[in-house]
Amino acid sequence: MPGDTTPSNLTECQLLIDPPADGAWNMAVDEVLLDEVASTGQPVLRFYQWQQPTLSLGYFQAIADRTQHPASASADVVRRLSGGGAILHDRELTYSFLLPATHELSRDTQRLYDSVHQVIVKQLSTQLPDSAEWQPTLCDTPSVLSRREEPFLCFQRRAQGDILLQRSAGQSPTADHKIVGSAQRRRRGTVLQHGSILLSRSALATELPGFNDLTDQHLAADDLIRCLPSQLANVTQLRLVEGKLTDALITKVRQLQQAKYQSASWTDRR
Amino acid sequence: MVKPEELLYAKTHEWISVAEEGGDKVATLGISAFAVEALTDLVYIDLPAVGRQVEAEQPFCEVESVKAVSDIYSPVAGEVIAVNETLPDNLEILGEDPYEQGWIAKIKITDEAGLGELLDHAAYEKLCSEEAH
Repeated sequence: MPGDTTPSNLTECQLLIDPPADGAWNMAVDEVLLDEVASTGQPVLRFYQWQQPTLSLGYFQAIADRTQHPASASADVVRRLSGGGAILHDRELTYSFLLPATHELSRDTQRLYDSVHQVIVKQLSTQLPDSAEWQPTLCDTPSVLSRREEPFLCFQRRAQGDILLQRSAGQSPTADHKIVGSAQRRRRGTVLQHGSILLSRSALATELPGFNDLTDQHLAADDLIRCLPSQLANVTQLRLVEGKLTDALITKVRQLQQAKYQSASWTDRR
Repeated sequence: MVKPEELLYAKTHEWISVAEEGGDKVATLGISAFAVEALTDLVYIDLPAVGRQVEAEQPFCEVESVKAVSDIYSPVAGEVIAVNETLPDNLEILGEDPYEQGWIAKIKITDEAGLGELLDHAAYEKLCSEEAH
């Protein structure tokens, strides 16, 4: 990469910056990459967006629970490979970070979660003056609700290490809003962590303000794509190499998109 | 009382014990204490259906923690003949007693080829120690 001074003995990590696509494609890419990383041992960092508002269900969520969020009833729906709550993907930047079993962070669920989120917090903080009313922070008071009591939407849940925008001390009333949530899928030690950085409120989930809504900023996905990859590579001791999906992988993605992620037998399986 | 030292382990962190039951070889499977700790904050387990045929080294069960969904693999091929129905509502058992009350499934073995790939306790401890660093 231009100006890159990263030591060349670090493991290469392929950087993919994908154009907006539909939900089934996006989820199929993530799964194909999970198997690819397991096979090649080469990490992948991917950024992507969504062509239209799409509700992604957590792996174990019931499709019938969509009735709990009528505002997004018109949105496309896709089931993720990862767990957790449903996400209305709209005005956000989504990332996937895939690490092979040989990478030390792949073995520690919370450390990987925190490492990625700390980088995002730091980057979001640089967008704001110290005196800003809302500041990004990692959640340290996770929900104690049982699984059945958890809200349907991921961004209404609270897990250790989620990124919140918190009203600064001294401001009242105290409040916070989750603006980044991530989830993992693990296969034989290889891990896929993907997550959503909520930039602005969706018209289909107006109860969830994004970073720009609360801070009066105009942060764009491209702004983050310029900064986050090198910072994430630094904390994970990887060397970025810009890449793109090969024709062979595109064929696999297309097959999985049609056979699985566009199929009712997958989406409606629970 | 099950002793972890007497069990066999897969590299994917399942434990297995094999016993004769009515002329069949039956494997009891669970996940190791190391795996339970690594998964952290388990919230859900999706047990396989009794009667399901499982293939060696393929996933037969899934667990969800607050942040991750993980597959559990069967080291042997066979038929699921029993599952631990108490687990879904009492996931803490997996952490408290992973090698006895925390068993996940019993599988009537049809192909025990995978057994040869398993690690004894000492080798498994070494693997965990390497993974922890």
